[in-house]
Amino acid sequence: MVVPPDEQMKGDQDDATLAERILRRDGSAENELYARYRGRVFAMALARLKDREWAGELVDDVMMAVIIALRRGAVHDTTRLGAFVHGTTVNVINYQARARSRQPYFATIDDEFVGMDHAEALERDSDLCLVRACLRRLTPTEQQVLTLSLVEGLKPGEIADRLGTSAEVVRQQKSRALNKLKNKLNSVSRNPSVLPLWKK
Amino acid sequence: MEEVVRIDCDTVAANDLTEKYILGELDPAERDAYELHYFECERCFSDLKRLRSIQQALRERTVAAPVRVSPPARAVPWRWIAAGAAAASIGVLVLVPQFGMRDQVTVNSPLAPHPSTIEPAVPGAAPERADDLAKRPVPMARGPSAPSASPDSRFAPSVTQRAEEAEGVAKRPTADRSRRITDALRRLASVSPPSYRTTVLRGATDEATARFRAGMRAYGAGDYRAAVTELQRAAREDPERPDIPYFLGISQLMVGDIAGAIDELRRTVALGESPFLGDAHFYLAKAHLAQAEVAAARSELETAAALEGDRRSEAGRLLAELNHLDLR
Repeated sequence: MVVPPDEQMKGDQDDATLAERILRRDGSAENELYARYRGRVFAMALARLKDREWAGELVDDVMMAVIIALRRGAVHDTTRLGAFVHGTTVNVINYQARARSRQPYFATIDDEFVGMDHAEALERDSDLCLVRACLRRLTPTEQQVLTLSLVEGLKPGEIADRLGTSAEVVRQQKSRALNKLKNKLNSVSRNPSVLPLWKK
Repeated sequence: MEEVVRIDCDTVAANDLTEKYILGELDPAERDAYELHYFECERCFSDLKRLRSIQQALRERTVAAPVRVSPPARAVPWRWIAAGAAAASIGVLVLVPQFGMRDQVTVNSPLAPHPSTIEPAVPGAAPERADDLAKRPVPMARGPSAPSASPDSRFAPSVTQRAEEAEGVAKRPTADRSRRITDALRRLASVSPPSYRTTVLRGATDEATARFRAGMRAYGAGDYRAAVTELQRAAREDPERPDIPYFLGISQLMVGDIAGAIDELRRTVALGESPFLGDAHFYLAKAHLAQAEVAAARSELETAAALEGDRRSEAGRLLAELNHLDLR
């Protein structure tokens, strides 16, 4: 069992307040909820579905379901909206995956629609352009270790075999490379106090 | 649904859950627990986004590495082309840069044209800086001049010639091979516009969204010219949304504005991680194929094949076909 960090307590109060505002049909609260969770929903859908377009479309389905439930006051524990959105996402993913496996998927175009930038919360804050620039500042060996680890999914021992070194050296190189990136990215991040908790 | 175990940030860090998650190495219970955690933890979600970006950037570099580069400082293979009936009637041959030369010359080459002077090889089009170009010691074309492009042709003149030069090969193809390669590239360049599934979400509608809706209505009806007009307006209102330049680029492909399509699809890519990133690279490849820019098309297909997206497997198939095309 885990004791939540202090900031989580504040988040619980924010969640309950947000839910209350949505119950009172506060449009700005709905937008706030959408902005807060769409990136997470997209990240989760992308990880599970491996389909970028489908994941993007699914975000609207999930957020609509969540907002409708909040408007109706149907959410049992409003201090844990994250858990509710997560659970809804699981259900929608499972439902759509089952539905698509049974029949071919046809795109439809309705008269009224909204094209939303579902990945904005994911890629905007992730500073992809900045990451690309920071990667160039790593040594070739550091880039190679990270690539073998994060792209090819090799373990330190496997990387060590390829590079003719030891697993411990690989771990150190990887840790150094990630710390370099972390420090550089944090120095220009909008929230420098939020320190990533990668491998220690 | 079963109760999901709650974990904390220390557990995430100690077990490298973020890295294992993006590599797809967590078992279902671990995955559920980690996902629930980042839905409730801003810091860990921020970590996930960042590590994903690093993985994405590394993946792009891995794919980009084997791209073939044209030999440096080569002489520009300018071709003497009859630029129009008027020019031909007075016995003047005008030096016209070939369409898509950008991929084949390096910027540092003394004979390389400035990118801004490169124009499509349209019959009758006057080259820029012709006087300056005429003063340069430009080598003669190696063979008979190629016919100028017909207005309806998707390919500029001498597709085979440029394909050869892109691959660094000196041999000239036979007429049959030329035709075969041209036909193959034309087939590979054919575009089917991606479908667009609309959804409804209540909320304030800004001008960009209103224009985007209008554009996608036209897109859905197959009126790509109208779609271009509306999507251009939407782009002016909100240049940060990747869906707008993406569908604008597709629409421009459909109306034959290849250069415009390339600009917009590159803009989509420049906006970073989005649901449209992989497909943008795919359609960029199509645009380059339409201009017979084989090396550039190959590069884009390699990127598209490496990224997650609808077109990933299709990009791989297209790449395989392109690689098997005997361009030597």
